[in-house]
Amino acid sequence: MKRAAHVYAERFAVERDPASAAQQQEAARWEIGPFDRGSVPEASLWLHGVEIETKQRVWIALRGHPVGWVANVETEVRARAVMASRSPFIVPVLHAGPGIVYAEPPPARPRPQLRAADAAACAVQACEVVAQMHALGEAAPYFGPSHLRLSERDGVWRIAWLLPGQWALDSLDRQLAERARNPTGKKRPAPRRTEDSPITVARRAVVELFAELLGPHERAGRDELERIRRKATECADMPALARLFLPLVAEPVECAARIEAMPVVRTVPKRERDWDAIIRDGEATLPSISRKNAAYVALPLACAYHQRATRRAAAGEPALALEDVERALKLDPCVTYAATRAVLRDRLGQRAAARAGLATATVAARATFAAGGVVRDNNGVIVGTAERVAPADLAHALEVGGLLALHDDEPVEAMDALLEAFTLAPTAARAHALGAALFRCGHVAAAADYEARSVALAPDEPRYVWALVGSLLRLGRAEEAREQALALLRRSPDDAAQREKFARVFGA
Amino acid sequence: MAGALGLTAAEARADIIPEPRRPSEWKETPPPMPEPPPEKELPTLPLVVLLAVAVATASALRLRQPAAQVCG
Repeated sequence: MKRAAHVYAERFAVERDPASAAQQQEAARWEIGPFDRGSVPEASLWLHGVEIETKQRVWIALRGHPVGWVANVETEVRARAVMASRSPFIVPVLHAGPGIVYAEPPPARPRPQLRAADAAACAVQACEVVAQMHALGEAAPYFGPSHLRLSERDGVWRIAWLLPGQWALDSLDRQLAERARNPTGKKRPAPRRTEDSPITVARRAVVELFAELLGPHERAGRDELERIRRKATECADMPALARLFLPLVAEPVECAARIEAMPVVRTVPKRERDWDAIIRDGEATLPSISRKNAAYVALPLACAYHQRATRRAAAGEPALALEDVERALKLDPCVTYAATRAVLRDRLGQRAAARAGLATATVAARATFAAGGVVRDNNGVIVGTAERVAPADLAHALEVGGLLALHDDEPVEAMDALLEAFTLAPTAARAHALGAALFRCGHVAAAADYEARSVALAPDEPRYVWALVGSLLRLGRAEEAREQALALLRRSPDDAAQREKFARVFGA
Repeated sequence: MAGALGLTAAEARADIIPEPRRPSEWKETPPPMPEPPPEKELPTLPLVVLLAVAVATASALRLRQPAAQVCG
């Protein structure tokens, strides 16, 4: 490559201007579309270059239109996890965010035909990578030949998996596979979405990889393939599957040691998102995009701030949480965030400010909700649209407002807010809080009705049952009250606290 | 398709780019809530015992009444 005119991420000399390459990659992804229809050359999905310091050749997947920011930032966070895994069977990721820079992978096609021992070794390597990905909470790596590549060095075959990869590349793989299966190109019904677990999907894909790599003259391997196919369905994790290939590999001792070191994952854990990293990226990205497209980053970024605020609140850091939620509200004045701000202000001893701020936000949200997202001028003419307010979001804000009013000993105000919240989106907690407000207003029979609904919605919640018991006793319906309490004891026979409470109120 | 409509590819894309949204998958943790309403004070045993005694007494009286009539 000539001396670079273009540099990417200050580390990589690249063949062309990254901005125009990003546009080309975006256009190629649009060409492919969401239904695997369009076909583009694979090269159009990459920007090629070299790492300036090492002269290593690299392939770069660039970010496209800001509409894809959420997917991009998530993929890049996964790419950093892949970088940290340092597996010899994964194509090295040299840089992640913005864009992902991979060391140049081996060619994708054609798949080689291997001896059984080599095919089995590659299958074991695939098991190892999948097990590592599953441990990271990465459920579905792409198995197609553009991602799961193979290379040979000194007669030794090994896999070189491009992770986290690109959906567009996987789409090209699927199109090629479909053309091979169905050369006439006649339209066939779309395959049904699989409900199989990630472990099952990976198990099947690894066995098929082995079958695909097995040379046509590998008779012994073919016999083993049938055994492996039968036994694979009993494997609950990737190390168990890898052990099925052990009789075939050339170096079983070394291979067995690798298998023993693999993580055993039987249920892929939920991947915790790194909100700090997402927020850093969002704040860095926001100034670089046009005003017109800013909301594609601002709205998800506000979500990220709100998630971090929620975690900080749970960790007993309300002041830090409040900073996050204030930023979220600047980015997106959403009524849910206003409700969270009110809760946090309340925890910090600022109940008056909490209620005033929430009241303003609730009034605005109620108006938007009533208008169905339509903005009219003074003459009632539609002049634009606004973000719609979901009933659940408005109900949440009303519930928070109602609870704060209840704590301020304003049961009438609380009752109005909680009744509206329950009507919009009934939940056990709302019915319970509404019951409490009604009780304090002296409407004991109505309180008992809503408390009975809270118990019906969440029968195992003792707090709701005892609230109902209290109202029934006040109404002189002692036998009904006793029945409700007894039902609670029957549902949780080992709960000593409930037994003790029952004995205090009703005797043994 | 875009050409047939007299649109450039970029214009066609601009028409189908979705509206900005709050990603639902980024709402994984429920937001914090205020404390629930304080629990009601429930009457403790003596009151209930009194009620029970009262009910038992009333029942006993009703039972005795016909017997008294027979005796009378």
